[in-house]
Amino acid sequence: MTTALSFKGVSFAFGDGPDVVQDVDLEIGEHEVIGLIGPNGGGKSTLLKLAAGLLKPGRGQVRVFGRPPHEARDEIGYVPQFAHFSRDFPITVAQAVLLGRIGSGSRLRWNAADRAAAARAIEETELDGLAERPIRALSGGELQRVLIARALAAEPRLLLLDEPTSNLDQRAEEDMFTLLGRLSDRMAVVLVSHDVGFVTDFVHRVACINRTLICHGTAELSGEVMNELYGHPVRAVQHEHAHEHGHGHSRRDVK
Amino acid sequence: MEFFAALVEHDFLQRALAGGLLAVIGCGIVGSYVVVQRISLLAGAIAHAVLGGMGIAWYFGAEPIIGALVAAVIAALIIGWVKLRFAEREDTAISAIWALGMAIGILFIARTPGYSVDLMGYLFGNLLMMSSSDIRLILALDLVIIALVGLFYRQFLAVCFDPEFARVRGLHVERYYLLLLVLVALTVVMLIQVVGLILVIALMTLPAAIAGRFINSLAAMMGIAVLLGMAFTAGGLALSYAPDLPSGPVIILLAGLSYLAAAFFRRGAR
Repeated sequence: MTTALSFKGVSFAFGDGPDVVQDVDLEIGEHEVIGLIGPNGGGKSTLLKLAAGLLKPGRGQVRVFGRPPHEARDEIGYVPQFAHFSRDFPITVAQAVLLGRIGSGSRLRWNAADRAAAARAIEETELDGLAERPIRALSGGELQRVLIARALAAEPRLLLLDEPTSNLDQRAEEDMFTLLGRLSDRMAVVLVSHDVGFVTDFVHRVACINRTLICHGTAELSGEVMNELYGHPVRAVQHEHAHEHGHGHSRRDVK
Repeated sequence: MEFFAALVEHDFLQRALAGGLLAVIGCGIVGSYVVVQRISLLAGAIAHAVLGGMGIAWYFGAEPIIGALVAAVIAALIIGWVKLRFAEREDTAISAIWALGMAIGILFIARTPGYSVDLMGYLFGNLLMMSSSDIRLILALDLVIIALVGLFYRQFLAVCFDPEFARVRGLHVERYYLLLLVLVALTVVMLIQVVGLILVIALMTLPAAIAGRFINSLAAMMGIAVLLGMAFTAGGLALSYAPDLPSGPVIILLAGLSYLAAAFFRRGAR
């Protein structure tokens, strides 16, 4: 199996501060969907930014398909936290998705390949009917899909998503995971979340991080692991949701 | 009507109108970036720091507008550097640059031998004093702004919309940000003659802010902002002529009232 993303002995600190991420070793395969979970401030978003090339590790090595992230940027699709996204920017869905092509291709104008890739991304994320709509008129779930479509427009082989489930209603969350499941046929997907609810059905593997990697694997997240991860006792509550699609999944919420 | 008759008759009025209309072209384009980036405080600091350069130029017998140009670009680069490096103390540092520029300007103007500076003209604008060389400078600055925005439109859009994503895609976000602030500096210099440095920010931001309420693309926002700026400038000049009022404040009054009306209309339409 080709390795899409690897961390080898990676540590990172902001300025002279303490390590936010310490000695992390992790490999992610090319068709894997992996969830990075952990408490706020635990370093999971930092790990994602290291993978995206937004930060450089103080020690260790980050590789995307065998290359440093800044050399492999055409392989990387990055989806920021949509909940913090400014909605009043005068831009339509189609224009926002085209921006996913910035940095590749022609420097002066969008070419036919750019437009075709953006159109495919819009179709794949089922945004066809919304293409000319301004982003200020979108729901949270729709904006989330726009940001995913923008990442897909660059035709990446590694998709990195920061807190994709926060502030989404359950229906939108389900739609998003169905989409990510489809995408994993042709790319690796890394999701960051402080919400462990999605780990049950949708991801192949979970990596728990609280500065260092505490567990990774498909094993059940036990109370002991959660306690170690979150630094205090965590109450895991099983929820059973009845879905329109006729199947349910158990959800674990951190209290 | 008196204004139109005078316009046909007097060269100075034709120059005032031409200079004003040309200045708001660059102003509508760059003002749209200022509005979507929410950097009007930065633009305000650049505008006021310009007085330092004008004062120094005056003291040494150079053209004040050249001093303004140099000071505006230097202030833009310093402010951009402060914003990028010291984000947490940004507002204090920017306010300090704002005040320092003005203090330097006032000191140099006070010490200029044979002081006879029409300070009010630079603070509040004087369209009627527009010379042919002023118009040539405004035209040149317009061309620089249009060329740079035409060249880097997509890059500026990406950096303004989502700088983090632009960085992942390999854009030099800091360079484009500083270039954008230099464009703000050039625009400030163009507008000083029209409305003066104190009112610059209003003419830079109000037309774009009105356009942004009704428009869904940055390019269209720029186009509408230019047209609105032209309407306010021509309207302000015409309205101020007969009662012999200063044109700068009348232009800004028109823009401000239109902004309030647009905000009211938009709220009512919801």
